[in-house]
Amino acid sequence: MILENAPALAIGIPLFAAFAVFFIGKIGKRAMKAWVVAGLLAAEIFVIWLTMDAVSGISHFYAVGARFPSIISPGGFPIRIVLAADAASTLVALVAMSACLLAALFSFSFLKEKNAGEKFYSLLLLLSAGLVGLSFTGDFFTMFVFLEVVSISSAGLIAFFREEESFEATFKYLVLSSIGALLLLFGVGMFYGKYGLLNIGAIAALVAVEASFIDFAAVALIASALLLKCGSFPVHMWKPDVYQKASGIVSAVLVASGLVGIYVLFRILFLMLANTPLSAMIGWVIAIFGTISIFIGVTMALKQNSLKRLVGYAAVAETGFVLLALGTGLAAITTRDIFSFKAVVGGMFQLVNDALNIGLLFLVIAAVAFVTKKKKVGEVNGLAHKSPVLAVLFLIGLLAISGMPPLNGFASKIIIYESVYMASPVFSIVGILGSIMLLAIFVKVFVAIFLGPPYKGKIEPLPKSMLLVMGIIAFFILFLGLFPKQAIEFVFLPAANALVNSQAYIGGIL
Amino acid sequence: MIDLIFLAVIALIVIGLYAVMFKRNLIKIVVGINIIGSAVNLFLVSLGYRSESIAPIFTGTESLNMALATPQALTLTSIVINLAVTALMLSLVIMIYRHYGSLDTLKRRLKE
Amino acid sequence: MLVAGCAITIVIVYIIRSKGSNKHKNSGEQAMSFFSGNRHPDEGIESENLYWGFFKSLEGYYEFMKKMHSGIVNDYVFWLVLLAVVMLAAMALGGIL
Repeated sequence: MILENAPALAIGIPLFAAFAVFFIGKIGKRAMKAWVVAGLLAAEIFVIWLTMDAVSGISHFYAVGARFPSIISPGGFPIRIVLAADAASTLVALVAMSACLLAALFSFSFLKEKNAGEKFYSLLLLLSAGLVGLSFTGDFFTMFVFLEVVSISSAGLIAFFREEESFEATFKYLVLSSIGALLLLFGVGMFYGKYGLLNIGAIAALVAVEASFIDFAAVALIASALLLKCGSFPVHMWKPDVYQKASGIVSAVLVASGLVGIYVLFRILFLMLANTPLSAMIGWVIAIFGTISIFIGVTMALKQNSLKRLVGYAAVAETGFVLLALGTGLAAITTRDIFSFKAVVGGMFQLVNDALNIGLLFLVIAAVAFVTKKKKVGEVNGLAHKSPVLAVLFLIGLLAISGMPPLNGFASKIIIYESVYMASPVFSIVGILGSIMLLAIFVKVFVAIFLGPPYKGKIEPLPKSMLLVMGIIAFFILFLGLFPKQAIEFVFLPAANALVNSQAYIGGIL
Repeated sequence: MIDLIFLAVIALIVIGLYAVMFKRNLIKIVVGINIIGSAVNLFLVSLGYRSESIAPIFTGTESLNMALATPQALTLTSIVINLAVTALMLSLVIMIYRHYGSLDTLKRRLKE
Repeated sequence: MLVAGCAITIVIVYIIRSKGSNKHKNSGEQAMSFFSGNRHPDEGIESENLYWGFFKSLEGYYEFMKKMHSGIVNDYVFWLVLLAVVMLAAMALGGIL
């Protein structure tokens, strides 16, 4: 009975917990921490249950307030808000929810001296509810609402610790994302004006039959807003500013929000442009944007002095890889070449790896800042003598992000290189060069921080919760790297199937 | 003959984008975003109008030819969200002024 | 197969490590970083100067990049509007071709 309502509960439990944490916080700090973990863990269990069902073929399409989603009005169209939990959306929701849960566990010892209290956890719970809602939603207007929820709570989290320049970064982020969301609402209005519907599946079924330029103009506006959310080439400039000034914990969750944006973008593109010649054009445009993002990300990262800004540019490059893979998949989907499906599988794998790798790097940087109590992490050197655990974790993150064999970065990137090479050799070559330059950048950082003469300052011991969280992420990096074939067959192949196959999605809703 | 209201929406969006792209005062940028928000709200409400229709209220109504109620609900949601975003942006402008001393977008410190 | 590979790797690593000497001191000359035999300057050379040749050869590209990532909000919104225009043009062109 409870499990039937799992998609709605996965959104509703963190939302309720976000508002109740203020009252629980009056009891004491331990009660608040237990409440936060309980809320996030309950939602995570629901999402894991939905993922287990979805990858074995049972997709749940949940109608809010009705028993089946296909109850129609006398006019003949679906009138309910539908939450779609198929293989691709549950995978992305799992990534987002796990990122929030691990960030919350990490922050328990981090925030001891900064008196953050209930407000930080309320914003974090609200952000997790928004991310899961954005990935499950089957309706254009709830997409707008959850997009704004994600924007506003991320803005609150970025500016939370009140460093001087974090306000400037938050202001830029908020200006860009609100203009993007308003463009998205304009596109949604165009769809509503033509069809009178807001349900994505129903509109996709109608667009396949009667397409005109207004539909594709609306898709173009919605796609630009979502490209802004994920940080691709022309609009990537907010990413380094925001990642530099947000705390390491918040940056690890913001990566997940960008990846949810990519998933929503490609869900809409695969549904609307399914059998039209436009899929080739838009797929090529997005693949070009992805390639240029990789190039700009790695070349600008080489020049940075500030460590978190450098990792921010590397995050732009990693997002470029996902866009390149999924764009190539979209471009070749109508010709049904075998490499187009492989590109989509590689893109979904790279999406999960991106969250894991960049999350681990940001968490290690936050741990280094905590352990040495220095504001600018660039002044630390020779830390490996005193804290070899952090050095090993950073080394794992470094090798994973640049695509070295026993780790997960290699498994996803080799699929991307092979499939993109069939589409266009130039993009694949830029991708390989980008990975090598990522290695160059991060080896420089690793040598500067961890190697060299031993560190002369005082070092605090690493708290157990931080070590546990980073250990879990490193374990998953190693696991996905050592057993990629099982992971692809079990999780990523159904996810790519669900993303590409628009008929299954429309059939589930109608 | 295109309805004049859609021309008004386009004109407002162009004015709002001009304010955000070319004005250097932070408060003028916030005002510009508000103008774009108002334009999109106007667009949403005007989508529900049918000719010779009245407000969609059932109690004591004379005719049943009513404007659509759904876009009006969407517009209310959008107004509330824009209000929250404007309040957040203005509080950030206050903090920026306190720390930087000026409201000019050219006086930024995060670059390259 | 995997277990055998790990075992052989551990044995080889142990053999190589046991051939080393344990006379390493943690202070003095042995702890300073190696500078190709030259005198070690106390400051001035940092890790950011490592890729000097790369930056010099791509000077023009980096000048353009500095102008693009200027940090001014108005330019960022201009890039967003340009993206929307490019996507609309792509949709229009794709329909014609």
